[in-house]
Amino acid sequence: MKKIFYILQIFLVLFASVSCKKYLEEERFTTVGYNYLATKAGIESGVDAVYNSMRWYMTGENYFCLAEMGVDFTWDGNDGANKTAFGDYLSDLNSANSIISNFWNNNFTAITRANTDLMYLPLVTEMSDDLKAQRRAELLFLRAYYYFDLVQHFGAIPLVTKGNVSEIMTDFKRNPVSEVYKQIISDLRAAYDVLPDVWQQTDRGRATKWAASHLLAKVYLTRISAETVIRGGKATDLDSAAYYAVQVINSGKFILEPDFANYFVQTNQKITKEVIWDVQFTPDPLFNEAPASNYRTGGNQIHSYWVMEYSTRPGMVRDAANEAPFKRIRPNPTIFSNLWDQKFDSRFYKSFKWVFYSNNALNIPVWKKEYYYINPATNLEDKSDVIYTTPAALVGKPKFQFGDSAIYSSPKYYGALSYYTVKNPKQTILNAGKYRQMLIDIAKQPYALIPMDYNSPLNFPSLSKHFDNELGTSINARQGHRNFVRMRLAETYLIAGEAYGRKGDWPNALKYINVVRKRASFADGEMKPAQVYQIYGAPNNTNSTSNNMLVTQTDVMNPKYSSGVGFDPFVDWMLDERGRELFGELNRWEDLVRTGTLVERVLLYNPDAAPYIKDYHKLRPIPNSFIDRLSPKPPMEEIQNPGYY
Amino acid sequence: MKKNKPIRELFYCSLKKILLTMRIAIILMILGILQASANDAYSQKTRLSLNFEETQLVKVLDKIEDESEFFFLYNEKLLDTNRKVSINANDQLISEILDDLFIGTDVKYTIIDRKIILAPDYLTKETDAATIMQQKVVSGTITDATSGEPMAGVNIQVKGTTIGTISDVNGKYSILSVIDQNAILVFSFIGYIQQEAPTAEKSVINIALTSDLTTLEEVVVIGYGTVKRTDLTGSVSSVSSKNLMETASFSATQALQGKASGVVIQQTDATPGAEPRIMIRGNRSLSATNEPLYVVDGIPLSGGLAGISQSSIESIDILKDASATAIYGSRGANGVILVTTKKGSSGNTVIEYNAYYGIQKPAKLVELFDGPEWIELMREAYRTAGLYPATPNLTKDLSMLPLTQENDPKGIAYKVQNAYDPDGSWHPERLESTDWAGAVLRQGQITNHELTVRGGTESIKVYASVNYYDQVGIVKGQDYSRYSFRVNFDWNLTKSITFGGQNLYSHTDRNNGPNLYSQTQSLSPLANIRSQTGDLIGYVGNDGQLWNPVLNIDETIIKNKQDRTLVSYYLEVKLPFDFKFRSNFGLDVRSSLDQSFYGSMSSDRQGALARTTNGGTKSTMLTWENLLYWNKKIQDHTFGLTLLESNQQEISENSNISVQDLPYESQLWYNVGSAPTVSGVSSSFTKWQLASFMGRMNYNYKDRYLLTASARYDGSSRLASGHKWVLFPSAALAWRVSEEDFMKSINVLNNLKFRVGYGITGNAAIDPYKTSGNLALNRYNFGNTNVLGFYQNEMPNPNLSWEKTTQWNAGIDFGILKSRISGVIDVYLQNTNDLLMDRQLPIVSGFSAVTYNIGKTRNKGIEITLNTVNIKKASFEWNSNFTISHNKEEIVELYGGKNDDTGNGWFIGQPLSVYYDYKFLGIWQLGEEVEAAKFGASTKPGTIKILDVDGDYKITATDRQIIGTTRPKFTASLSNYINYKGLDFNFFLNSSFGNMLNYSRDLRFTGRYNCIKTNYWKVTEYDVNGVAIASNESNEAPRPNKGVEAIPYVSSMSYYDASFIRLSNATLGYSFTKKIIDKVGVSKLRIYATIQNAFVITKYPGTDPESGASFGVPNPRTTMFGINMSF
Repeated sequence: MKKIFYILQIFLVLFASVSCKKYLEEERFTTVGYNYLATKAGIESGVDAVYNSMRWYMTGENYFCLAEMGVDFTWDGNDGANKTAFGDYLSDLNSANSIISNFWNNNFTAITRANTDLMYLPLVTEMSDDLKAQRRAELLFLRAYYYFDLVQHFGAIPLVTKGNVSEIMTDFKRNPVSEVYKQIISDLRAAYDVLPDVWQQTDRGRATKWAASHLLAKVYLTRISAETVIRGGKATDLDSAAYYAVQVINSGKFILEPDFANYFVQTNQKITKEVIWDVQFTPDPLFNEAPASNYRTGGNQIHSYWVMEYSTRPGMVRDAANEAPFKRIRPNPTIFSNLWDQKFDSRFYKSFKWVFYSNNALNIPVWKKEYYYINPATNLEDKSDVIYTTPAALVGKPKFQFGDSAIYSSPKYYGALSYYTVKNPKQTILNAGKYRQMLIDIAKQPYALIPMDYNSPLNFPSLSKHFDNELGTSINARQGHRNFVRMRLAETYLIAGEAYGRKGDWPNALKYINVVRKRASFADGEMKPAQVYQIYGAPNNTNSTSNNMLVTQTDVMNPKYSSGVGFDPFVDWMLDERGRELFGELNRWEDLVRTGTLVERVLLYNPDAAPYIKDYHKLRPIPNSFIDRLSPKPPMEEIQNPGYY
Repeated sequence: MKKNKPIRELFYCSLKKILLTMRIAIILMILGILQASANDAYSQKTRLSLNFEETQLVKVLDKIEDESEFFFLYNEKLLDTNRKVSINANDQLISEILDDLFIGTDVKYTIIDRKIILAPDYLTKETDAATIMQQKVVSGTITDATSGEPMAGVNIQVKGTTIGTISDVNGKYSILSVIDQNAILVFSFIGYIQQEAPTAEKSVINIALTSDLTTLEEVVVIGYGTVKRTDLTGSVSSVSSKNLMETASFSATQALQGKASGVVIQQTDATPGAEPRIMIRGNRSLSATNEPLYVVDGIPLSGGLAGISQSSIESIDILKDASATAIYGSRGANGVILVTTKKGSSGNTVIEYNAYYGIQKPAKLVELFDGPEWIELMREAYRTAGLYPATPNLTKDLSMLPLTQENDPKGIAYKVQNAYDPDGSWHPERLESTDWAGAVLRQGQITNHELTVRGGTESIKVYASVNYYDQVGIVKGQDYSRYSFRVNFDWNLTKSITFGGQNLYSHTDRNNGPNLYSQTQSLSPLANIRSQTGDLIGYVGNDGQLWNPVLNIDETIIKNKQDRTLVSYYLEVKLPFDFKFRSNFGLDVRSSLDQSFYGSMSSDRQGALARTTNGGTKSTMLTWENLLYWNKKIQDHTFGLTLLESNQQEISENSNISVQDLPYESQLWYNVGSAPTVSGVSSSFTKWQLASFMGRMNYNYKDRYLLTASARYDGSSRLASGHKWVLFPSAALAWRVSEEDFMKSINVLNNLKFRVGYGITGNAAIDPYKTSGNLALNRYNFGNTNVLGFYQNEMPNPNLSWEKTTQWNAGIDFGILKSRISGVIDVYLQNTNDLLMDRQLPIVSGFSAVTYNIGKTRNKGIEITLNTVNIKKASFEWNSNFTISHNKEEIVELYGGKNDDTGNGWFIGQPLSVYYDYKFLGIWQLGEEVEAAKFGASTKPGTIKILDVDGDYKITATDRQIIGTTRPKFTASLSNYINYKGLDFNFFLNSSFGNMLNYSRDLRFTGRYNCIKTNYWKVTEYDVNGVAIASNESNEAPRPNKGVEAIPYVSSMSYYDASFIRLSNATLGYSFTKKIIDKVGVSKLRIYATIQNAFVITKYPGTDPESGASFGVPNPRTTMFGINMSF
C-alpha cells in the first residue's frame, strides 16, 4: 500500500508542474511577428516586399488585359478567355471580374504594406537617418506608383496613408480623384527631394530621383490632359510636366540607344542606359516568384501573347525559340498600312517579327502542279479555275529547305479582301482583280505568304518587344525573366514634347519630339529591310532616313488617326507617335483615358469592341469583393462607378 | 420480456478485461475451461486473506472476485446470497475459504480454473436414486450451436418455478423436474438466444444454443472507460472486429464505411492509399476541420488511423452526441472515434493466419469521342467560325489539323488523308482510334498477409501480429504497400498492479503518381502513342499543349514513405475503498518522406532538364494521462466516478527542397546538391500543448435510471493568454423502461430504453501561432542581388477561442421478440457557435480577412439502426443489419449576420457546401435568334441558354442560384449474414441519396482537344448561302466554336445527382468441418471469395460518384480470394 501512495505522490508533483503557466505558452520559430518590422533587417525586407507587388503587372494575363486590350491599335486575337471582357467590353467586364479584383487587391495590398512600413520605420533604431530617409522616399514613390495606376483605372478610390496591423476596419469612402492626384504628387515630390541622383542605385530597380521625376512628369501631364476639373488639374501642370521631364533628360544619367531595337534586345535590356526604371525579374527561379500565391507560377509571363499561330504552318513546329503562340491580341491590321512612315521609320520593321524560318524538316510542303482559285465564301478551291501552274521542273520538289523562310507576314495590303474581325469573320472580296493577283502571288511563293488581307486572329505580325529567348528547352516554360521596363528615356522625351506642344511652345516641343523621331530612322549605313523598297518603293540604299523623320509644327498638327471633331490634333498626333514608339509597352489604354479619347477611338478603329463600348467604360468597375466587405454598406451610386450596377 | 440474470455478473470479470466484448469473453472462457483439466494451478497457488463479520454472502463473493481472478457462477434463485456469513481467512487457499463459507449448507462448489460454480448439493451429485424415484430427472448436454463446443454455466430452469441449475464444465446438466409432466425447461445464457423445451416424458434433452447477435450485453468503450451497452446514456455506435473484417479494406476508415449510422464515410478518390473522408453527423465548421478526433487505446491522436491495420482492431466505438464526446472537450465537436486494439489471452497459444489476394479492374470508364467523332467535332468548330464547308474536305482538314511530326509521318494527317478516296468521298470507318486509356491503365491487384499470435500465462498475456498489405493501382504509377508489426501485452505485476502496452510500428510506401487516366482526356484519338521507330512521342499529335502521358509512367515519380511508431503504456493500480488509479502514456511518432522526380521527358518538364523535390515531416506527439476511478454499489445505487488529469503536446517539423536542371537523371532525388538551380526551399516548426482536467460521474438506480454528468476543462497553448482555459460540460439521462415492473408483462418488448443528453464540445481548430499574427515571406531581386520581403499577412486576434457546439440528443434502444428485432433510434440537434471564420475585410484595411469567432451553423438529424434475426435454425441462420441516417446541415449566421457570402459559396439556411451557379436550360435553337440576341450578340443558336432569373436580358452575377449540395439527404446501408452449415454468405449494400457532384467535362470545344463524349448542338443543313437552316436540336451541349476558348457558362452543365446504391461487398465462405481439419492440425479453416464494388446504381455519368469529380481515377472492381486459418 505504501508503495502505491509513493507513486501517487510522484504523480501529484508532476501534475503540479504541468499546470504551471509556462506549459501553455507558444514557442515560435518559423514565423515572425510585427515587431520584426521595427528592426533594420525587418524594415529592409518590408520595403522589398512592396517592390515585389510590382511583378504582378507581368504575371499572367493581368495588366496585359487592362492596358492593351480594347484599345484603338489592337484587335482581338484568337485565344484566351479574357477577350470578351477586355477586348470587347462585353458583360463579363463587371465588378466580379477576377482580373479587375486582382489589380485592385494587388495595388491596395502594396499600398497598405508601404503604409505599415512607414509606420514602423521611425521605430527602427539601428539604421542611419539618411538611410531611413531614403527608404521612406522609396516607400512614398511606390505608394504613389500604385495609386497612380489605380486612379487612372478606377477614378475615385479610398485614399489610405496610415499603416494598420491590428484594427478591423470596414468603413471606407472613396476620396475624390483630385485628392488622390494631390497625394500622389505630394508623395512623389517628397521622394524626388530625397532619392539618390543616380542612373540606377547599386540595387538596380530601387527608386531613384529620376524615376520619381519621370513619374511626376507623367502624373502632371495626366492631370491636365482631360477631365481636369475632376482630376484637379492646375494651370501650371503642363509646366510641371515639362520641368520634371526635362530634369530627367538633362540629368545626364540616361542615353537613348542609337538603334531603336537595342533597348528591348534581351541581352541589352538590363544594362541599357535608356531605361530609367524597371521592374526586376531574375533567372533564379527561387527569387523570380510572383507577389501572391494565386499567381505562383511567377516570372515575367507576357512574352508570348502577341505571337501568331506559326506552329501549324508547313515546315514549322512549335518551339521555344519562336515562343509559344498564344495569339491573345494582334496589332490592328489597318494601322499597318498607315501609322508608320514605312519608307523611313525603322520602328515599323523592328517592333515585329515578320518572318518565321522553317524548323521542321519533315513537313516541308512540295510544289503542286497547279494552284486554284479559292472562293472566300465557301473557302473551297475551284478546280476548274487554275490561277498558277508551277514550272514542271519544280513540281513535287520541296518548296523550301529547313532554315529557310517558311512564313512571311507581309505588311502589304492588296485591298482585295475586307478585314477579318472576330465579330465578322466572313471576308468579302473588295476587288476581284486584286484578289486574284493576291492568290497568284501567294501561289508563287515558296513560303506561306500572309498579306494584310489575310491578317486574322491567327495570322498577324508578332510583336517582338517582349520575346524571351532564355526560357530553356521546354516550349511551355512560362517564367520569363526579362525586366518590365516601366520608364524609358524615349517616353520622357515624348512627355516633354507633348507638354511643351500643348503649352504652344513649339520650338521646345519639336526639339524633344524630334530626338525620338531621329533615333527611329534608319541610320547611315544601315541595311534596310526588303519591304522598304519592294513594297513601299523607297530606294534600296543604306542612306540615313533621319531627315525624312524630322517633323515640323505642321506635321504634328496633322495626325494620321484622329479622335474626331473637336479633339486637339496635336494630342491625336502624340497618340500616333506614342503608338509608333511605345507599341505594346502596356500604356495604351491609360493614354487613351488620359486624353479622354478612349471611347471615340475604339468606335473608330476597333470593330471588335465598337458595338459594345459605352462611355462609362473609361472607368473600371470597383470590385464586388471590396464593396461586399464594407460595413456600413454605402449606397451603390457612391461606391460603384456608373454603368456597373 | 425481462432479461434473465441468473448467473451473477458473469461479466464482472470483464471489467478486468474491459476492452473485450461479450462474445469474445465467452470464447475465452470456453478456451479456459477446456484447458482447466490440464491446469488448475491457479486455485492451487492463489491465496487470499479475508475478514468479514456478519456480512452478506454476496459481498464476500464480490470481494473474492475483486481480490483475485476468480469469478462465481451460480443461480441467484438457488443460492441465498443474502445469508450473513463471517469469515476470517489469512492467506488461505480458495478451497479452504469456500469450505468455511458453505459449511453446513447444501451448497457445493466446483472450481474450474478461475471459475467457481456454486450449486445446491443435489444438483452436483451424479445420481441420487433415493430422491429421484419420485421425481423425474432430466439431463443432457448443452453445446454452442456454431462451434459445437460444450457450454458451461448455462442456466436451466423449470419454467414458472424457482427450481434450476447450471451446466458443468462439460456442458452437462441434470435437473430434478417437478412432478408436473408438462414442465418446460428454459435454457438461458447471456449473449445466447434463450430456448425452451418441454420435458414431456423425455429424460435426456440436449440443447444447442445459438449466439444472440443483438448487442444487449455488449460492453461499449466510451472515453476513459467502458460501460455495458445497457448502461449507456449517450449515443455511441460500435463496430466489432468481425464487422470490420467483412470487407477486405485497405484501411480501418474504409472498413468503417456504412457500418455505423450517422457516420458518413465518403471515398472521394480511388487512388491506392487515399483515405476516405469521414463525417459524423454532418459538417459544422466552415474553415476548420470537420474530421473527428481519433483515440487509439486511450490516446488521442492527431495523425488519424494511417498505418493501423484493421485486422488488429478489436472494436471501433464512435461517440456521436455531446454527452459522450464532451469528455474530450475542445476536440469533441466532430465526434470521437475510439479504436481498441486486440489483446492477448492466457491459455493455449492461438496462431492465426489470414490472407487474401485480389485483382482489380476499372468498374467504369468514361467514353470519349473516337477518331471520326473527334474529326467531326473539329470541323463543326471551324464551321462555326466560318472556316469549314458543310461537307468533309481534305484540304481544309489538313489545314486545321496539327501537321505531321518529324518522327511520326503516319500521324493524324496521314490517317485522315487515307480516309478520303480520290473522288473526295470520306470514309470515317477507316480511322482507327488510339486506346489512350488502355495505355495508362493496367490490372490492379491487392495482396494481404497477416499472422497473429495470442497467448500468455497467468500473469502476462500477449497479442502479436505482423501484417503486409500491397496494392498495385489500376492507373500506372500508383501503388501502395504497408507492413506493420504489433505487440500488445498486459502484465499483472502483483494482484493489484497491472502494466500493459500497445506497440505499433508501421511503414507505408506509396507511389502517388499523377492521374494519368485524366491526362488522356484531351488527347487526339487519332494520334499515335509511338512513332514509326517505336519511340514514345512527346507532343501528342504534334500539339504543343498535349504531352504524351505514357511518358509520365517512367518519368514522373511521386513518392510518400511513412513510418509510424505508436506506443501506449498503462499502469493500473487497485487502491483501497474501491478506487483505481490508472496512468496512460502515449507516444506517436510519424515521419514521412515526400519525394518527387520529373524527368526531362515528363509532362512537367517537356524536354527541359529534370527537376526533383525532397522533403519530409516529422511529428512527435506525447500524451500523459492520469486517471482515478471509483466505483461503488450501495444496495440499489451504483456510483461511478472518473477523474482525469492529462497533458499532451505535439511537435511537427518539416523541410523541403526543390531543385531543377539535374545534371543526370539516375540520381532521382538522392543528390539535390548537384543541381545548379534551387527553385524552392522551406522548413517549419509547429508545437502545441494541451492541458486538461476532466471529471465524470455515473449514477444508476436499480439499473433503471441512469445519469451521467461530466465536465472537461481544457487549457491550450493555441489560445492567447487570458483565454486559454475553456470548460465543456455535459449531462445525460437514461431510463430503462423494460426493467420496470409494469413492463414485465409485456413479453414482446424485451428491452426498451430512453436516453436524453446535452453537452457542449469544442473544435480545436485554431492553428498554432494564429492569435499572435505573423508576417509572410516573398522574394524579389534588385539586379543581381536577391532579397527577401516580409509583409503583413495575418492580423493578430488575441480573442480567438474554440468553436463551440452544443448538442441535444434523444434516443431509444429497443429489443422486440427476444431481441429478434433490436435497434437504436437517435435524434439530435447541434448548434455550433463562435464559428471560426475568416471574416472578410476590405483589402484597403491592410488585410483581406481576419480569423474570427463569429458564425453559426446547425445540424439536426435522425439515425436508425436495426438488427434483425430473420431466420434462426440450428443449421441455418440469417441476420440483417440496417442503418439509415438523415442529417440537415445549415448555415445560420455568417460574419455579416444573416447575409450570404457568395464569394465563398456560403448561404444562410443552406448546407456548408453547395453548388452555386447559373441554371442550365439547354441550348438556343434555330428560330430563337431574336430572343437569344437580346442577351447580346454572342448569344445565338448553339450557345448555352441560361435561366435569366431577374428577366433583365443580362446574365449577371445575380442570375446564379443554388443548384444543389454535396451533402447527402440520407445515407443507408444494409448488411446480411447468412450461415448454412459450413457455408457463410454476406453482402453489404451502401447508399447515399440527394447529394450532387460536379461532373466537369472540360468541354474545350475549339476543335483542338478531345473531350468526354456529348451530343453537342450541330448544324445539319445549310441553305445555298451557307446559312444554317436545320440542326440536330440537341439540348445537351453547345456548338463547338473555334473562336471561343472558354465556353460561356459551361460550368452550368456540370452538376449531376450523385446518389447511388452500391453492392460494396459480397462474400461467400466455407469453413471446413472439424473432422477434416483436425487431421492436419488446424483448428479452424475458412476459405472465401469476395467481390467488391460489384455494381453501383447511379445516375451520375462520371467514372464513379465516389472517385472524385469528372475524370477521377476509376473506382476498381475487385475480385478476391482469401483464407482464414487458426492453429
